[in-house]
Amino acid sequence: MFKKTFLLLALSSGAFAATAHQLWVERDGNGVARVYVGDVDGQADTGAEVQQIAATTQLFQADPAQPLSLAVHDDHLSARPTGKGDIRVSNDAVWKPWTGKDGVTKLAVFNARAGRSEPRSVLPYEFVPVKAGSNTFTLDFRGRPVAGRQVTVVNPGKWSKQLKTDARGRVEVPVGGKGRYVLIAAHTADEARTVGDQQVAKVDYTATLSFVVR
Amino acid sequence: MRAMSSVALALAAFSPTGPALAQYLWLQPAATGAEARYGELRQPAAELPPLLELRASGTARQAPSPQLRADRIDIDATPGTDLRVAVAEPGRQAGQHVLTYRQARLGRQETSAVNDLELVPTEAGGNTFRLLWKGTTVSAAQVQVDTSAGWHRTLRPAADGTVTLPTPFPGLYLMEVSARVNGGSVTLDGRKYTEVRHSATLSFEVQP
Repeated sequence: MFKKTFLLLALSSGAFAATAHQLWVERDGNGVARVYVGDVDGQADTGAEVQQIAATTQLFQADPAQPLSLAVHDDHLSARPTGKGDIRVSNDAVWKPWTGKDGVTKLAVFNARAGRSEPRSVLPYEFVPVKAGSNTFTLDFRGRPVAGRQVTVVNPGKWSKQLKTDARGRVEVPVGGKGRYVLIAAHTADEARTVGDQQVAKVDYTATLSFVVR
Repeated sequence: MRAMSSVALALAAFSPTGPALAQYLWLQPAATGAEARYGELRQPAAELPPLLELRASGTARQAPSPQLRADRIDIDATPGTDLRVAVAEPGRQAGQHVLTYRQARLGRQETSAVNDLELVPTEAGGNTFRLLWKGTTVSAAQVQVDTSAGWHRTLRPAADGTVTLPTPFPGLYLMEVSARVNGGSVTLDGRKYTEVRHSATLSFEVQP
C-alpha cells in the first residue's frame, strides 16, 4: 500500500502574477552596480539564465552610447560605474519575440534604474523621482506620465504591495524603514519593429527602479 | 461521506495566464465573534459560492454554530480561543467535477490541528508554523501571506519544512496554502468528484 504523503503546494494564483519575471539593478554603498533577473520578491535566476543576458544588457550612467562593461557572476551581472549618478539598464533581447494566441507578435523590453537622484528620464519607460531623493515618483513613458497604472513595490523585507499611479502618473512609495525598495510596472505599446526576420507589432515594457533608504 | 482513494497530494496547476484572482476562505474577528469570508482579503466576495458540509469547531464548551449569510459565515465564537471552519466547494473545471475543501483557522494559540490541512504554530503565539496533513507534518512548497495592511509575501520553507513569518505591520495576517490530492476522488451527495483540492488558511491579528 502506498502510504507516503507528498505535499507539493500550489503555485500562487494571486495578485502577484504581474511580477512574473523582472530585470532590476541595485547599487551598493561601494558603488558597484549589480543587475539581476528573476523575481524581485523571491529569488534571482542563476547560471545560464544570467549568462545569456550578459551580451545584450546595456548598463550606463548618463550616456546610453557609452555602456559599461559587465562581469558575469552566478546570480548577477556587475559593473563599476564612477561617481554617484543614477544607473540605467536596458535589454530588449531577454526573450525572443513571441506570437500570442491573438496572432500578435510581441517583444519584451526591460528598462531598469538604480537611484533616485535625477528627476529626469533617460529610458523609454522609467520611474522618475519628482525631485532628488523623493519617495514620490512619476511613471514616465516616452516623456508622458502614465496615469492609473498598477505599480508593485517590494520593500526591504520582501513584502510587496500593489499601488496605482494617480491622474498625474505619480505614486508615493510607503517607506517604512531602512533598506532597498524596488518599484515595478508594465506597459504595452503599439510599436512596429523588425527583430531579426520577425515583424513585431507590440512591445511589452517593464520598468523597475531600486533605491536605498539609509 | 468522503472516500479518499489516495493521500498523495501533488502540485495544483492554476491557470498560468494572467493575474488570476486568488480565492480562499478565511476567518477574521467580527462583532458576532468571528466571520468567515471568501475571495481575497483585499476584495472579499459579495456572495458566497454554493458550499457543502459546513463545519465549525472551537475550543468553547459548546460548539459554535455557524450562520450562513449571503457574503459570509457568522460564527459565535468564544473570544481568545482558536476557531476553525471547514467547507466543501463543488465546482467544474475542464469538464471535471472538482471538489475543493476550504479550511480556515483563526488564532495561533494551539499547537495541534483539527482540519485535515492546517498551518499550526510550533509554539503558542509564535511566528514559526508547520503544515499538518491529517496529523503528519509535511513541507509547504510555498505559503502566500496577505495582510490587512495591503502587503503580500511568499514564504518558502526552511530545511525542516517550517515557515517563519515576520509581522512588521499591525492588523490581520492571513497565511494560505493549497494542494491537490493526487489521484484523489470523493463522492459527496451522490456526485463523484475526480479532482480533490485542499486550501487552508490561518489568520491572526497583530496588535500595534
